[in-house]
Amino acid sequence: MRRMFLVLAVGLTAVGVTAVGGAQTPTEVPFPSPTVVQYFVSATTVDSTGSVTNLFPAGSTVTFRAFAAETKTGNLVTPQDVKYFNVKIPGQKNVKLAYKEPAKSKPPAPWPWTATWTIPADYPLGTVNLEVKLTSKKREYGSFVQIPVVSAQLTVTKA
Amino acid sequence: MRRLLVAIGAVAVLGAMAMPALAQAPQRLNVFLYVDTVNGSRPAPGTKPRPVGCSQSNNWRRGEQVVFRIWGSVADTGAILNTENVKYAYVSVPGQPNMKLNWGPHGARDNRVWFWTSAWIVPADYPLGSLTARIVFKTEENKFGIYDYDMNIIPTAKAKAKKKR
Repeated sequence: MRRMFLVLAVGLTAVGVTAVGGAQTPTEVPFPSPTVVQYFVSATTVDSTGSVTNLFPAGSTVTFRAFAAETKTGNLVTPQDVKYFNVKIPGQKNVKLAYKEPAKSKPPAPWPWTATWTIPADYPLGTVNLEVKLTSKKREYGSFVQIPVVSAQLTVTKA
Repeated sequence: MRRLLVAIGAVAVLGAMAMPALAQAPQRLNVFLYVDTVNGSRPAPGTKPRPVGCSQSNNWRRGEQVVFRIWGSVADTGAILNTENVKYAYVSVPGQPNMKLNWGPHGARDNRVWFWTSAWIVPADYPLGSLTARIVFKTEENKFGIYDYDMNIIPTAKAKAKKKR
C-alpha cells in the first residue's frame, strides 16, 4: 500500500513538472505563417516626403510601396506576371499598385510597386486593417498583412 | 576577308539580339526579406521618448533606440526564416559593430508572433545624414538574403526657449 502511494506521488509529481515545463515553453508562431506559398509579398508606407511612417493625419496621402516575388523561381514580379496587385483598405475602393522598372542593383531595389491613397477627411481614426493582394496571370496568389503590433500598423490620426 | 566580315557581322547581330533578352531577364532572389524599423522603448538615458512607442520611422535622432524588425522566407521551399534554417543573421550599420538578429516573440500577449529583431541606440556622436543599414541572412543551405535599408540621422530638436514676459 505504502509502495503504491509512493509510485502515485512520483507519477503525479512528474506530471506536474511536465505540465509546468510545457506551459513555460512559448509556442512558436512565425509571422506571417510557417511557409510562404506561391508569392512573397511585402509592403510599407511612406509620407509625402518619402519618410517611412505608419501614422498619417486624416486628409493626408499615404504612399504604399510594395514588392513581390515568385516563391518557386525567386523571380521578381513584373506587370507581365500580374493580373491584379492591389491594396485593400476597409471601406475604400481597391488601390491599384503601379510598377516602375527599378535600377539594376544588388540587392535589388526593394520597392518597384507603388500606389497612393488620400485618406478621406471623415475616415475613421485608428488602425487601418489593410491587405496587399496579388493575383497572377497563372491564378496564383500572394498577400501581405501587417505585423500584429498595433502601434506600428497604419494608423489614421487627427488632422 | 569577306567571310571574316560576314562572321563578325553575324556575331554582332546575334549579340544585339541577345542583349535585350539579357536586359529583360527577371531579377532573382534566393531569400526574400521584409525590413522595417520602429522606435524602441529603451532610448539612451536623457533622450526624450517618442509620443507613440513602437511606431515606424526611418528618421532617427541621436540617443533614440532603433529596432529592426525583419521576417522573410526562402525562395524555392517557401520556408519562413527561423533558427532552424538560418546559419546567421545580422544588421550592419556603417561605423558600428555588426548586430546579431534575434528570433523571438513580439506583440500583444494574446496575439504574439515571431520574427527577427535587433536594437541599436544611435550613438551621441553618430554623424548626421543618411545611411544604409545592410541586413544579411545566411541560410543553412548557404543561400544569402541581403537587404539595404535607408535611414536618416537627424538633429535633435532643441528645447523651445521660454518666452520672455
